[in-house]
Amino acid sequence: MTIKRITFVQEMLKFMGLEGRLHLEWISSAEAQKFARVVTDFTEKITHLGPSPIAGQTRSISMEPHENKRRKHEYHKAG
Amino acid sequence: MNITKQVEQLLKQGDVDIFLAYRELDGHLIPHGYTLDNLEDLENLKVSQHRYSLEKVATHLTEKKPNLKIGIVARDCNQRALNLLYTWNQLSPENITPLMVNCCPSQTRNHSDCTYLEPKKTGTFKQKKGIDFNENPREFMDNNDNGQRFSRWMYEFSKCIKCYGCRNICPVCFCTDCSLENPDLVEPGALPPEIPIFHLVRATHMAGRCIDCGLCEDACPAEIPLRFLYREMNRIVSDVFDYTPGAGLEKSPFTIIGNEVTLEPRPMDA
Amino acid sequence: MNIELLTLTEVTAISGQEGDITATLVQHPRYVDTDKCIACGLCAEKCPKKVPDEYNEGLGKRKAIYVPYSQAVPLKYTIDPNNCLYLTKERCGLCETVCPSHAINYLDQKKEITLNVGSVVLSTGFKSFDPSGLDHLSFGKHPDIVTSMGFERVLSATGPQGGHLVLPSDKKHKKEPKKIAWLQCVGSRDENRSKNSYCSSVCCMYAVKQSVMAMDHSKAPLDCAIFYMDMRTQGKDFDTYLEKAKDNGVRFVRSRVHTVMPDPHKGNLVMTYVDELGALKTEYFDMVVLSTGLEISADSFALATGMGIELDASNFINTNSFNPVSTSMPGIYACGVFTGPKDIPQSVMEASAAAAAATEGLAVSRNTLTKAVVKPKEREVAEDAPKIGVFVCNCGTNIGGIVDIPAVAAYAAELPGVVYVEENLFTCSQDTQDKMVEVIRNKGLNRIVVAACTPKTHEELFRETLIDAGLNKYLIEMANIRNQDSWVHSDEPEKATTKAKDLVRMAVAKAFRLAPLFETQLPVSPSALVVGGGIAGMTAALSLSRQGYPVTLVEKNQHMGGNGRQLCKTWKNEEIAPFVKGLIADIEADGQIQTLLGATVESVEGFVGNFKTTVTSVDKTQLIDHGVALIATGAVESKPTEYAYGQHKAVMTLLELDALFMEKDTRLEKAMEVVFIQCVGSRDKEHPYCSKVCCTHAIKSAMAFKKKNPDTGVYVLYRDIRTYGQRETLYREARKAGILFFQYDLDSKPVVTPGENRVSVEFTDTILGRRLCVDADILCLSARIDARDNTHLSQAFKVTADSAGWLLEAHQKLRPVDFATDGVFLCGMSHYPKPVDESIAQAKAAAARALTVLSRNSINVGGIVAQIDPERCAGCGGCVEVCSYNAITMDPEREVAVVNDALCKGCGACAATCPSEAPSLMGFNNDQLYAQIKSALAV
Repeated sequence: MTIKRITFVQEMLKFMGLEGRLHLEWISSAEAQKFARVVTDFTEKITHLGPSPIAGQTRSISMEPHENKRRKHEYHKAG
Repeated sequence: MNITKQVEQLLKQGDVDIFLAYRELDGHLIPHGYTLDNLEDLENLKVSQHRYSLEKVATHLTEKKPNLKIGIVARDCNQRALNLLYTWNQLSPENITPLMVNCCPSQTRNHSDCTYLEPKKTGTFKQKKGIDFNENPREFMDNNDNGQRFSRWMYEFSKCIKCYGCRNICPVCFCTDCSLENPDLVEPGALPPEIPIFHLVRATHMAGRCIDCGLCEDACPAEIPLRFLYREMNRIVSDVFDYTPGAGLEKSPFTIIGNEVTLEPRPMDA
Repeated sequence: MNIELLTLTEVTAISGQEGDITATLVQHPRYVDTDKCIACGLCAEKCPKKVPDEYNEGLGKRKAIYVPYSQAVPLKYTIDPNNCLYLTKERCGLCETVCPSHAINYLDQKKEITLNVGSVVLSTGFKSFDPSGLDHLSFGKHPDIVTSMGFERVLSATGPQGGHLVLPSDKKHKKEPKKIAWLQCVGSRDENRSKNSYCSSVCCMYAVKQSVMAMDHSKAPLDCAIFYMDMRTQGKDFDTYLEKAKDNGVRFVRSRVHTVMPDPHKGNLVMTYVDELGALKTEYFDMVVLSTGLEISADSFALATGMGIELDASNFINTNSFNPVSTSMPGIYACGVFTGPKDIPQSVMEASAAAAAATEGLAVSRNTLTKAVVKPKEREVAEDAPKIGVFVCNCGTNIGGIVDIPAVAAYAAELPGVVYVEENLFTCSQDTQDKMVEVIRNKGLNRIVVAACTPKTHEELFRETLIDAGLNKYLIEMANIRNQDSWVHSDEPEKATTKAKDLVRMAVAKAFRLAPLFETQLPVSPSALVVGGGIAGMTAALSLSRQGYPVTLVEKNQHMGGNGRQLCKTWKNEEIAPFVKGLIADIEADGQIQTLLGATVESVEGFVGNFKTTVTSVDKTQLIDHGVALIATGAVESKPTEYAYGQHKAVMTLLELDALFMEKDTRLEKAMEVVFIQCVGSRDKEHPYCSKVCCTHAIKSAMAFKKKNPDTGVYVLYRDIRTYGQRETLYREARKAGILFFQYDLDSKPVVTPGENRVSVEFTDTILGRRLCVDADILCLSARIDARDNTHLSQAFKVTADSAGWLLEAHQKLRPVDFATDGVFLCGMSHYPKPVDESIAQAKAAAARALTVLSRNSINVGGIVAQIDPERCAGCGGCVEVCSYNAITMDPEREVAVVNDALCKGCGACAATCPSEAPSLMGFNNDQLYAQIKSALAV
């Protein structure tokens, strides 16, 4: 399931011209070395690709939680 | 038997409580619900090239009156939308009676690619900076590199006036609460919306749902090639999930945790 | 709270009777106060004395003050008195100087402890066979010859080489092996050299696993070869794994290797062996792994004999098939390898089984000695504006040595909502916890951020602290500035400090939005439903009844007993029929067990603690309230489709042969030639699994012929003889008795031609290299065991089955009798084919696991669960489909999805699926997560 969804997003980003910026890898908690290697490799790859062309589009966001028109998440008592 | 007679019969026999079709008013066709109370309107019932997502009207009606029996004039694309809405519990087939009409009045084009949509005109500036409506998505991939694709899309998206027309016309957009209006995700009052995120969020939500009716592209006042975008999304869904939304009553694979997957994660250098 | 852990402790004496046993224990000194030790590791860092590390099989070094391994419980340091310089020579004393919490106590003394207990469980495990004495394998003469335990350490990320597959002989940890050999049955199935005549059961599977993992770990292509006699992968899914290993290129050579020697010229290892066709071969390897067997240590032997417990010839505890976890001493139970070699799932099952057996007699005193704690009343803070307290931990020098903690603390003080910031040496230490409780109360804090280590290990601790301070325990957020920061960026302190600030800012942003979450208590129906009245179902029902809980036993047939009714004897020659009769009599005499014969489960509603099941039988339908359900629907011997089965009366299955034995049929007397064919319909493409019991069953039946008439010609045609564990004894006796064994493969199956009175069986003898033919009076087929069709039952109880139809446990190794669905358990052959003793152990285990629910008055539901906003829900049902726990249903009235708190596991799949964000995972809702993401980007 994960792999299908990620493949979908990878293809979509490729279509958008943002290829290569999403990577999927299964790493168990016992595979510290693999984790380090994958993160290093991916960091290197992204550095090589350069900053995301959409970076900077993100608007500055206030730290304060804004008054939300939407309902606050509150817990109903179970049962 | 012509369609007017069929509708009249359906209403009179009580097979449907309301029949959704088009009505001619001042030379224009508008969507209209025919009932026993306004049988006289039937004389204005017309079928033409014009389309509207009547299924969407059916969904809204069902929401208010779950047991309402609805008849609907349907082309292929409407039928696909109906199928999709059945699988997503929005309509139930027992309550819907579609009357199929010819998809393609000119009889010259291929049904399977739905649509009698006329080839669209794409101006030279749009061709140069943006995306030609009539280009094949695969050729678009071949003819443009990563950077070109990105700038063409950004040109298109930057025209967005966030009118939500694409969503409002969409027959399969049935959510009661749309993420695209969530202030946490989409800042209210900012134009254009955060691009390309805004459009990609919608594209992702359409994956496994879009039945390729093309109404969004027709509705867009900014001429963003939305059908062009979703058609490619559909191709990916078909490749990856082996699923064509609306083709049948199969559940969307997006919500099913499959047993076995033959896909392999892509290598990083791919 | 109710488990007291006594480490470094030995039992010196046991006296008394079941229900009133006095155990005398000796606790050896640790020299470290466990209440004070915070496992910071400074002591071991400074300790000058290096000792070979037992845990790493001597392949690495540890210090004289150490924790045996990183997951040790308790995670507290201990001083090895034989190697500590202070304790041996009164020099050094460095650990005492550097310990920040003054935990070192060189004056610690050994203590004698006396306990009064009701029963005792022995689970001292095994010792790996020491191959040093086997000169032909050269162990100890070359560092690249390792035992399987040693190789486990080589592959392990916490091992001496950090999980890099490199040759132990290469001191630079660079040179990787290109060829590795595994030698099976080292110290097993070997009377001549090791005295261990039994099969160790687990080595074939672990060797296959190691070879696959080694290939995974190796960057270059790796040649792996396993030298074996019979491939004994009889466990659930093991054969599938074996076939995958073959596909991946692991070589399997049927041969017992007679010599391994270091090659002085080439520097690697040279091995000579005779292959299956009788040719002498020489092959070179870079590394050789000895698949060493399991045996009982001298300490365990002394412990058991000291208690007067009977052992078998190999020093395993003598048990009988019907009481697999009972020893010869009443009140003393045993589990794991002490009662015979076995793998993890079987050991875990037995552990639960022993817990059931050891408490059946003590049921009346349940909860008389348990402790409970009174917690302060919770303060209402939901409506209050956030007053966030931030506690920044130095973790000794772990964080403080890299990250500028004062700078992080000062930064945190400026963040919105933060009213209090504190730096701690160790936020997790007991004194800081006490202080934290005070601060929360005095400053009126209502949201807490701890910037320290990982929530995985410490969040529970801090939640307890919040409870003690009268705060809802979900009002805490942790920022992991150790594992994700100071540890990985130790060479970039400035950047690490910036990152620590980022992590704290994100945690504060989330804490700002934390809301108290509540758990509700639902009462538990204190009764059980058992589906299936075979040996497993009856055993489980009786066990639960003895524990004091009423049971409804549902059996599809008009009589109980299941497959047990058709079985003759166990491999230990115990008669099964009287045992089954006894079980049925016990069930019928038991006032707490209601038996419904000819009945099936129609539908199930509810969840753990509160099931409502509709059971229908011929004449009536009834609704049963129960807290737990046990599924024990068994399995069935398949009808073969080959070898002239059904076409000739000489051809029969094992159970049909058992029936002839029980009827004392005259054909058995007259039979002069008897052939058994193994793996009929098993271990092939369509049915890749092993039916586990047939090798033993067939050999036992074959022996019955030999015992009747030693002149009867008995032939067993097999693929691998899988008489695992002590069953190997039976195989050895069979060969001694003159039963002939012929190995065949899938591509050279025997050919059966029906004759007038006999059938002729043609097969190849691989050693002679010739075709042989036997005219058999009886041809017995070891037919595959099939799963029953449990489709309806699985849907009703929301449990799953694998592709072969075996019911799927929650975790194959660690939760072998639980389903992923809470409150439903499985046992017996519905899980996988298994012999009587294993079925009984699993049945008792399921009863014990069911007790963990039944013995509670109520269950807590809620907390971190999903909740669906009905106003946003469009009723599309996407979340219903995606929920692995079947916790979401559609409310037919409102046409919206609803989460059942008791079933929800808080995985968040629904929240991720819904395009409208109608479901939110409490404690991880979108507001909180978006706030964290925005805060991460807002620099």
